Amino acid sequence: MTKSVLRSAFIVGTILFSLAFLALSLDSLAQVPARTNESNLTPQVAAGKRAWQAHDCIGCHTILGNGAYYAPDLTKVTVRRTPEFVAGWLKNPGGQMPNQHLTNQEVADLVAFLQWVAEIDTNNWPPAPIGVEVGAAKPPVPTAATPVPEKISATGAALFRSKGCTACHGSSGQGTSSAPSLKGVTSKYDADYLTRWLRNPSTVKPGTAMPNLPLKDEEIAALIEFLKTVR
Amino acid sequence: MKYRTQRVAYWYFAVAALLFLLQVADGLIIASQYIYPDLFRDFFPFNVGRTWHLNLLVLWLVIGFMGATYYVVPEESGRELWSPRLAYLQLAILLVTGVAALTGFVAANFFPSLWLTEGREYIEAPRWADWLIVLAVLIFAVNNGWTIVKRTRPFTATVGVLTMGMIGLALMYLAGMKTFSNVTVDQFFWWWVIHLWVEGTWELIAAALMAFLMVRLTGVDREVVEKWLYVEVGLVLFTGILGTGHHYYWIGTPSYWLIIGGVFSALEPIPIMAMVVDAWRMTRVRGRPHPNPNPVSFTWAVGSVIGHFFGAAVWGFAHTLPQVNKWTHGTQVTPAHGHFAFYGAYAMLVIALTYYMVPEIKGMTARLGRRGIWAFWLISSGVVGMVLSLTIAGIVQVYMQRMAGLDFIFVKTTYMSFWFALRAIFGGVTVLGVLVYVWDLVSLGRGGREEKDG
Ligand code: HEC
Ligand code: HEC
Ligand code: HEM
Ligand code: HEM
Ligand SMILES: [Fe+2]
Repeated sequence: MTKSVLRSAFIVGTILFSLAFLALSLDSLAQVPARTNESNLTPQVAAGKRAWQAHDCIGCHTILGNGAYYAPDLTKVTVRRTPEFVAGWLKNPGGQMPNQHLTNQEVADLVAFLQWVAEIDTNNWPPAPIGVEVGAAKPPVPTAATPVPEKISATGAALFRSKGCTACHGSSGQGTSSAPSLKGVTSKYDADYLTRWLRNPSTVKPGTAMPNLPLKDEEIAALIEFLKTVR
Repeated sequence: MKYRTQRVAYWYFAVAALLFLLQVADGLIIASQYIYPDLFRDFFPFNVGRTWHLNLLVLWLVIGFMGATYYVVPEESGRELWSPRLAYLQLAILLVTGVAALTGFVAANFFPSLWLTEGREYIEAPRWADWLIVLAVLIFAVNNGWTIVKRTRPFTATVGVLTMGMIGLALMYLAGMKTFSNVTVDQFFWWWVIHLWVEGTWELIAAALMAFLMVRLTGVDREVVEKWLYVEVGLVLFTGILGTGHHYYWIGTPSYWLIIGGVFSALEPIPIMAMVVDAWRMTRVRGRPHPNPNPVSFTWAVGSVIGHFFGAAVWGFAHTLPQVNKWTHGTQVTPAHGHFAFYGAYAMLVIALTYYMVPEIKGMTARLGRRGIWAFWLISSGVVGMVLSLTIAGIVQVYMQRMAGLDFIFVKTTYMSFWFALRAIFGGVTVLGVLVYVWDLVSLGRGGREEKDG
């Protein structure tokens, strides 16, 4: 084949593939409003999107799986946690997330934005972990059937996050300005004391700053397993 | 060097090298923040450092491509560049805009505003910066365009493909200047910039510049190279345009992209393999005089072909099928691929071009010193080490977080931390290599000194 034949094939082919891509793009954009429930995209959601950009949340987080890999994906965060948790977190983040100094208005807008994002039809992404029903993507609560200590302490770690302990005690229990470090706490107290403490701190120490968190007994057991690993 | 005005390329390469150094130094900071989250968290938090890292990367690569174009266009057109003054002005605009934008990203951390950052990876630059960049690109287009129009030789395929790539790069940037309140639409067009750059228009630029370099370095017959050039860039676009669909699996776009994106992006490695075969053939040309025995540039060029293959074709294919991408999407597997592909396909190529063009501009015909080879091995082993660490971190993350359902931050701080530490160590090796590279360029810039080296 001569150079000019190849050149023509290149140009014609490029034009054809570009047209095919444009046609598919138009079709996709036509379907997006239904797939993203655009009718629920209120001015507040739009304001939340602008706050999302101005604070560069994507510089640490992914959303719809795209962004930075330093912090958890937020596509379904209002489902994985609750809108209230997210609002509280944004006002006073813990662990590795620096305080973004958001106004109350921005927090409300961001929560509305994240709630709207959670409803987007993502072809079922993120997938539920293996063995967990769709829609119940939370880590399984320990039962008698899951006695492997490592697994329990991993579940405890998940509870430590999901019950909001990290908000005060830091992402790995290292302590923050609002609560002490939990390093070595299981050698300081026995399991019995810690169980009573976690059931209701103020019965052990009246007037303590640690709130009473609604925890089931098996959750407390898993948390204590986890606390053993905090060193 | 045949024309005096090709000299402008020198300053482009010099600026590119310095920005590269800044990019990797910053990379070391954000990699350390993975291990020490409190490091600089009040005035230079992770997100700001990452924004610097990505914007510096794109800026230095584009400046490198532009410098190379200023070198190629006069030579291929058989005349001096239309206006070297405008070329320097253009570089100054890019540099000032870049510095202003980077300063703005730091300021945005204290005064969050869409005037300081648009908060969208890679293209955070706010509107005013966009327009300054457009101005610089227009100057670039006019300057080279007019030189090509006034050429004294027939139009070559190298210049043709290079021009198409540059126009494409500029057009795709426009797609990123508008934002949408619907995050799906926003990401839809965002990928027109990112994907259609690295897997489309930039491939054209890279293929043309690689062809130019190979003709100079190996003395291979230009006719053969240019014929292949059309085949390669043709296949890149035929697969890469619809291959954009591999980013439309999970963002709210229709499910037919699972098939279209999967099939076409799975074909994207074919043209990259063709480039490897092509380079293999070219480097084995025998019995021809070597017009420029430049082993340093040659080493980087061959490295680029290999890095492009592993980084883009192998690491890209590894997570492009929807069945796999469902689990790996948005994990550390992605930056493992991103680092390898950007480094292999584009960073190494710009360095190869620098090592060919700077000595030519400085009139050094003798062999270069060994420092460039040292830089090659240091930077390459650093990047490959980072890529392997991130790949393992990614597999751990996919398994522990995505498949077993453990909490993100728990997996990150317990099971992945070792690999992040290893990544930071290899990052240190990379920075060392880049220091050697910049040092080498500075001494080349002083001229002639290296000539006597063996
Ligand atoms: C400097 C990086 C950084 C920035 C910027 C950042 N975050 Fe975070 N964010 C984190 C990290 C790290 C975590 C996990 C914290 C932990 O558990 O220790 C997190 C956690 C969260 C969580 C809780 C997630 C969960 O699953 O419990 C939400 C919600 C959140 N961030 C929202 C935001 C929003 C909204 C913004 C922008 C206003 C933002 N973040 C900006 C780093 C960041
Ligand atoms: C609102 C903030 C907050 C939250 C949420 C919180 N804690 Fe605490 N925690 C504290 C404070 C403050 C103390 C210190 C109490 C004191 O000594 O009066 C404390 C003390 C403790 C102690 C005893 C430490 C010691 O050395 O005396 C344990 C154990 C503990 N917390 C575990 C947890 C666990 C597990 C969770 C999650 C289920 C949790 N905390 C949630 C604030 C909090
Ligand atoms: C030189 C060429 C290439 C470069 C520079 C490159 C670079 C990148 C980068 C930086 C990202 C991450 C984007 C983000 O920030 O979200 C990415 C994502 C991706 N790339 Fe490439 N790439 C190249 C070629 C390829 C090829 C040829 C393939 C497939 C065969 C491929 C497959 C993918 C996939 C599937 C993703 C999405 C990852 C995810 O789901 O998180 N890439 N690429
Ligand atoms: C000192 C060496 C380097 C270090 C320590 C480093 C570190 C990092 C870190 C920590 C991130 C953020 C990842 C995240 O979001 O979690 C990142 C992103 C990135 N870096 Fe580097 N980097 C280095 C060199 C380079 C080089 C040489 C290149 C390219 C030539 C590069 C290209 C990229 C790209 C494309 C991304 C975005 C990845 C994505 O979104 O998938 N980096 N880097
Ligand atoms: Fe892509």
